[in-house]
Amino acid sequence: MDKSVLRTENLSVSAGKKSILNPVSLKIPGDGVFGIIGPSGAGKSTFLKTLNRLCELTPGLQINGQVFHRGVPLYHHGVDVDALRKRVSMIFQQPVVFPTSIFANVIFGVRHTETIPKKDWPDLAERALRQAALWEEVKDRLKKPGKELSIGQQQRLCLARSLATDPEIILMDEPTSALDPGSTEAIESLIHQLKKQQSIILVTHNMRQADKVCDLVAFIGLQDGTGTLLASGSLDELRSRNNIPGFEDYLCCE
Amino acid sequence: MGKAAKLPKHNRFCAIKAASWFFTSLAFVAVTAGLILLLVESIPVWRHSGLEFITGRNWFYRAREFGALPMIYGSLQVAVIAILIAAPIAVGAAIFGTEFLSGRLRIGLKIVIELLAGIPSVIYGLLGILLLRNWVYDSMESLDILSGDTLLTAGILLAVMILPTIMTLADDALQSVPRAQRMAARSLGLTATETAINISLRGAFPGLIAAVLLAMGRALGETIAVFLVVGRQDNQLPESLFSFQPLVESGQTLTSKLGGSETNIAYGEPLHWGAMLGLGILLMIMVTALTFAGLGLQNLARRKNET
Repeated sequence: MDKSVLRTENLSVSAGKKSILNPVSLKIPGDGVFGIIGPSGAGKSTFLKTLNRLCELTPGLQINGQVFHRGVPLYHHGVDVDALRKRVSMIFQQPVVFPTSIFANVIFGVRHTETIPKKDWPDLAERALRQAALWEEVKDRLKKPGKELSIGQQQRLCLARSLATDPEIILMDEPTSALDPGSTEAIESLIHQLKKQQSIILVTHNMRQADKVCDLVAFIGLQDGTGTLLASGSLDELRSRNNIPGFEDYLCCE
Repeated sequence: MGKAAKLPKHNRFCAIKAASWFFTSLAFVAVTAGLILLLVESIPVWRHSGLEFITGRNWFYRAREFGALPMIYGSLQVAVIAILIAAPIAVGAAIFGTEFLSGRLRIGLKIVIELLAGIPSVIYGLLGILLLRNWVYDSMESLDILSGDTLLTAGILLAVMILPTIMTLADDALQSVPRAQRMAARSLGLTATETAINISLRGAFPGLIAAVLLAMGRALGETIAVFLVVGRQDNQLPESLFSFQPLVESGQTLTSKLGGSETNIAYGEPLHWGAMLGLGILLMIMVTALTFAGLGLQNLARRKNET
């Protein structure tokens, strides 16, 4: 019985003749935090974006192979991509706050993709903001523009916005790389909380973070200029193996 | 050695700076002087009519009556018709281009549209006579119209002419909405259409209004194409602003009046000449106000999307 929530099968990405990601076959279990580590430019983010088909929106990328979500193929005619992206939500490197109020930001996804009556929005927003550990900081200024928040708060606002639509999986693309240490800490402890309900797939190139929050990791390195899946397992496992090409270099340079 | 080599370069820079300052101020002084001259030359009509010049309904120069209201009405009416027709089409095309076409096709579409902007306006005027005038006449027959030269004809023709302006400015406005915002919306499960409406259109809204205002300024100032199809009938001010009938009658705009032979007749007779220049000043004020409003909004939109 396949217990993985997501499974890729020979999933590769190329831009024209240039190969970006060599075929990846990987099982991602549903419980806990799955980390994707590796040097910059190895295609970690690209890989992440194939998991909710967001990379299809970048013109010029060809995606081959298959992703299975609980056994169901995602790259398949007839898959409702918008519904998929709602279940498999994404947090970006730079917080992307819409130019509107904090409240409107939180309910943005719900408002446009669900038929929840307007009177339930405040409760829903409160729940999402509490989940993102932002409620206490913003409860008195929900009508203020989201961009007035600090960058760390903005990232938690984005997280609340995703949580409001109750996704099954959250993809996080280096969510703390633009943040100060304090905010990074806040997001990391949030990830600890959230993994009880959601599957989290986290791209990071920070080993300290990977150690702290990831249960399993996949190491994507560069081979001849193309991103390649080189190893996966727990971090301790990866450290004890000494035949992973590029892993030593990656560890020492971090 | 190094120091000796630097010095002439520095001097050259100073010379270029001084020269550009000189020519910039020259242009500024020349334009300002021209405007002041226009104002001074128009003084006789202000002395003669005062504010009646703006609110007066009759223009009979032999009777020394100078009322510009019918022409102000004509100019605004023609520009508004043009905007009402062109704005939805142009903004729609811009949305289609930015949101649904791939990069290369979008650029292709933009080039074609911008080529349309390069066609001399007299050609548009000729096309208007050739195609539009009869069409308006035939399709409005039930309204008992006298000819195909009407405010409506001029408005439709202007709509075609300002289409590229609105479209290209609207495209810029939509492009200035960050891609990351579209991506974030898509990753929340919004469809392409929902994203276009709730992210792109919303973010670009001030810029889109700016596009419309700037295009309206252009429509107000357009002369020769309007001149050829508007009928140039003086003193046409309808009793009601909210009836369709006046639109299918001939009219006169500020520009079509100024472009006509009356301007040459007026020259040499200070009062009449002053009245013509007064029309020019009214036109300038209207166009400048729209342009400033448009540019202001554009700046506002840019700042909004930057932060």
